[in-house]
Amino acid sequence: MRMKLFRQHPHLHPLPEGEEAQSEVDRAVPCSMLNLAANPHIEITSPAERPIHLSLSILAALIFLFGCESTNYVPPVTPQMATASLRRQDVDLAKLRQGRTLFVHRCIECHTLPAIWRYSAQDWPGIVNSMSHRASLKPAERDAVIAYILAARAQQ
Amino acid sequence: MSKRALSIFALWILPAMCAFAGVRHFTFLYEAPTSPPSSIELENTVTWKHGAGWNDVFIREEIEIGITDRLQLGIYPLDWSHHSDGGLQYNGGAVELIYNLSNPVVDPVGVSLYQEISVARQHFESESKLIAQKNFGRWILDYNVTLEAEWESKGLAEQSGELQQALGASYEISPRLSVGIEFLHEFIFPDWHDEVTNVFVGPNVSYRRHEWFVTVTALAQASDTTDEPDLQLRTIFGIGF
Repeated sequence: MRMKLFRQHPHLHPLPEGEEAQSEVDRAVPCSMLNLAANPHIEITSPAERPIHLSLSILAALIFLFGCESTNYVPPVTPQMATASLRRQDVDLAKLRQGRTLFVHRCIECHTLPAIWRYSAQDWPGIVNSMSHRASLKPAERDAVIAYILAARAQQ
Repeated sequence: MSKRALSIFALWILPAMCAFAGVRHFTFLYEAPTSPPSSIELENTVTWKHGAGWNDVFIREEIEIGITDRLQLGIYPLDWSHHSDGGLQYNGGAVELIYNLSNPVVDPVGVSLYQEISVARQHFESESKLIAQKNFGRWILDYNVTLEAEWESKGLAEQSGELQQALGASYEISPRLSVGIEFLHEFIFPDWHDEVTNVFVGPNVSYRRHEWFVTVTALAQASDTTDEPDLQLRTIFGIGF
């Protein structure tokens, strides 16, 4: 991987200190690459090591990208959540727990979980209802999912 | 069981199984979530492999059934392939079971175990897989490690094996569209002695709407193995009944 990098970008080869081109490299490449370029004892990667380095590079890129959006807001059910929900609708702790379990198991069959605040409390029942058939949700299970989403949303 | 009894059983069971089994975000990797109970889906997989002077096409049909919230059954009644040098051939049938152990959203890692048994004339194959997945918001990060053992020829005398690890990431642009990348690292052991290492990497795209989905992956070989394909293109089309 490293050799490939230098073949594609010959300007990354080490240069004597003080040359002007060094500052261009500073601006053009990340710190880790700069260290490689400055190191006169560059290791030549064997063909057997290339897949491992490729895997690590992909993993590093993915970790960077995960930083952009990496949250799943599915708070656990609490007695306070059930008490607050009971004031608005006829739900108990068991129903909210069932709703959370179904939400995190059935919905991810087709898509990732959307942020609960992405849609309004008025929109959620229709959204869940429109996909309940695809998720094999029975009416009572569908109601439990809606109840959990609304309770979690109200907790924010 | 008589034909009448079978018809009554089918009429009773089919309406209960009218649901969608699930979308595939990857084609060379399996995902940890299993199909909802009582769901049924037909998946058609077409793989085109292109090498120096040769082209092979593999076609597989799968009926995917959700048994419980954690257990999924897959039946492959049709498995065909067409080879540049050998023409069309039937590769037999297969059965797979996937058992889900943990959830990729609420647990630290979503894990499932996969076992497939494939049988044909003078051919027996076992494929075991560990599936690990984590969902981060709109991202799905997936990892599979697979061990395949194959026995073929007269008396199943020829043996070979393969160890494979695969890594994939998928980003959901919208609830209907995802794009991602898949990475395959294969260790092939002909006769369980020699070792051939292959690496493939490439992008994928997945689109879903109503009761169907389609996912396409194009993989290019990143290693330098002459007998292996330079390019692989796999399409999975799934439809729920």
